[in-house]
Amino acid sequence: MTDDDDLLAAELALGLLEGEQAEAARARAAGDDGFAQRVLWWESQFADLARPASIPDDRLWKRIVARLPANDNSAALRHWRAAAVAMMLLAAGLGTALVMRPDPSPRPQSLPVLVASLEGEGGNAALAVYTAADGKLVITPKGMNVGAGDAELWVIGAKQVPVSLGVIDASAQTTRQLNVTNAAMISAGATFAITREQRGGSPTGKPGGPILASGTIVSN
Amino acid sequence: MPAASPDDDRARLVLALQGVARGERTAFHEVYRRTSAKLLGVCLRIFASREEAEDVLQEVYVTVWNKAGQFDPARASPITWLVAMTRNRAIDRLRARGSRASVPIEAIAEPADERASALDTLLEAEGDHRMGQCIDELDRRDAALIRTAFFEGATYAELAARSVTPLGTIKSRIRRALLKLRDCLQ
Repeated sequence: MTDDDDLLAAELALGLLEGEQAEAARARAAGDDGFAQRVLWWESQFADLARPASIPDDRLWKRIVARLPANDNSAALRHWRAAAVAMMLLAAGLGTALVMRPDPSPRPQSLPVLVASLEGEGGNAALAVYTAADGKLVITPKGMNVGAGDAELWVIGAKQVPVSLGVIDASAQTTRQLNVTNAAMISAGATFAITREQRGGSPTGKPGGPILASGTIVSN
Repeated sequence: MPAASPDDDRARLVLALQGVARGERTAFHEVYRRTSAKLLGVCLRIFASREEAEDVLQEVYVTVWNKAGQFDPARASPITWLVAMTRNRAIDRLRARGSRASVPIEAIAEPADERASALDTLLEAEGDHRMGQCIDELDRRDAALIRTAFFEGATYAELAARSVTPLGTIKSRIRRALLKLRDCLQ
């Protein structure tokens, strides 16, 4: 690595460049591992420029906790959107970075009924109600166009991996008795999604078609 | 209490972030406990008001909660990742309100009375503390330019405008300073 290369890495890490120069340096970092390593080295050095302040007092921690999704409906909505986007990426086959996570808050033990309003392109597309007491999940669709395919229901929990709950009827209420494994996935903050799959459901066990609707599970 | 080794601290922070990615509140509190003083330090360098600094810090931790899954320990150290996130957030806010810190570049220097407490030292344990010494060895104005670039997101062009210095002069000064810094750090 020449001095000029290393300086470019430092300039990129420090944010000194603008416009085309910045673009070119970023492109290089994306394609040149040696260069990217130098950018990271510089970044870690500059991170040391900040000296610690005193530890913030407890009020700040409480304010942060109060803003976490389980305590904040707007954040829950953002989660829902993030999860929907992530699912769409996944469905489009671009899902290597399924980075957004539905809120994985532990399931409240005293609230046995969980609901999710699944929104699609045309607005509300289905309602899901899960009763923990008997393990029954009831899906009420409100008009989803599945064309020649089938609608498949998925739940995405903290592990971000969509788990199939099977094909559902797109035009009539479906009641499903969940087994223990699947029941454990249904918790406040997890996401339900419905995708359009080939007849009989996705053969791979992973969602392959477009998302018809999705929504975050909330305790009722 | 025996001081944890830097590698230990780093490993624990990586583990805690991975716990946050799984939605574990206790892991989140550990990340906060281990990093909030440092990240508040970043914010306080950018915002004079403690209230504003804490507002940014609050946003940063909510983002950490949401995006811990994006952290890749193979690519960056956890503290570098967190500092970068904090810095970006703070600079965005600075830009959004259309202002820069009002401190002239010449005045940007480490406060002379800054002392690290034992706990700070623990929190700092990940780094090897060389940066502080090395930047102090630079010409004061050069050090101020580098700090301004880092803490305020100022580009070459902005630094030139703010210090009323030709762009070419600013560039060559900073590049020279960066090479000195590197030689000192390595």
